[in-house]
Amino acid sequence: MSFDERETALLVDRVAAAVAGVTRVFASGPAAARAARRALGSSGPLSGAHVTLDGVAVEVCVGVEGDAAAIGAEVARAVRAALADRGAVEVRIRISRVR
Amino acid sequence: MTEGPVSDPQRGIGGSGYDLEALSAYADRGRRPAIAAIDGDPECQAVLDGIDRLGALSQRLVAAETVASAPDEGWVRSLLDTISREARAGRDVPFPGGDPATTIAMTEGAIREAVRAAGDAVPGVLVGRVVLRWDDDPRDAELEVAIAATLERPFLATADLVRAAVGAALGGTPIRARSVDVTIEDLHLPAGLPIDDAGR
Repeated sequence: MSFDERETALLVDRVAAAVAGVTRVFASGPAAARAARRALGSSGPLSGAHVTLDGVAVEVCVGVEGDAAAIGAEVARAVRAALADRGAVEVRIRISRVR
Repeated sequence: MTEGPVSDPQRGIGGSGYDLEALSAYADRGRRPAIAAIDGDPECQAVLDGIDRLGALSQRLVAAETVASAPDEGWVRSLLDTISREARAGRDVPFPGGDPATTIAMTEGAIREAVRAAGDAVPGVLVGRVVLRWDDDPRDAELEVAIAATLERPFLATADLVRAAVGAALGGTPIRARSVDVTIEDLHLPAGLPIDDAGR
């Protein structure tokens, strides 16, 4: 993951974590990408979001408490707003835990 | 028994690098000291919650003398294997609607865990297996829930309670079940009850 991608992923992490009802932002993306981010995390903040190499697609994996569909939609809206200056972005919200 | 990470960091539950033995040890330690690879993985979290619920129920049953002894070790091991297998993310099940550039989906693992947690919340019940089936439409699914139960109420009443709890839990997911089959596969016998009296 390049510096920009990492910065973007950390931004997405923060935005997603701030949405009411989100209990946790989990590591997202393919297993190899998650392992690579874990390795990076030993020397800095660990990003949970997965940003594709071209930066046009973002995947966020979250745990939620409450109305999962509504919370997921709010996460998507917040992420899209945070990345508004980066052109078309495909946003994928993956809910991996629900209470 | 392994209590540290497995050798390949991409293996283990959820690709966390930690297997069931390591998670059990982590649960026994009260999840301390914190391990980011476990705490940041939803599949590990589902397994840990399952371990906690199993431990709490076992203690409650024995303390209240509801059952003669703590559940058999082999049975516990089998249940933990099932929990860790079903915690796998599996397919992403999308919520309907939304714009084409946005996908909101829930993992199969999260749905199974929601069902498991709802069933486990029924007093005297521990969910053993959760099977979700659908062909094309997740809003036309079949759900099978196998449980272990105590004899504190009639079987049908227990099944009805589980069915109601599970149905409510599914309401927050993209799944709609046209059938929910509850099977009581294991009984935890009350203390002092002869085997014959329990119908076995």
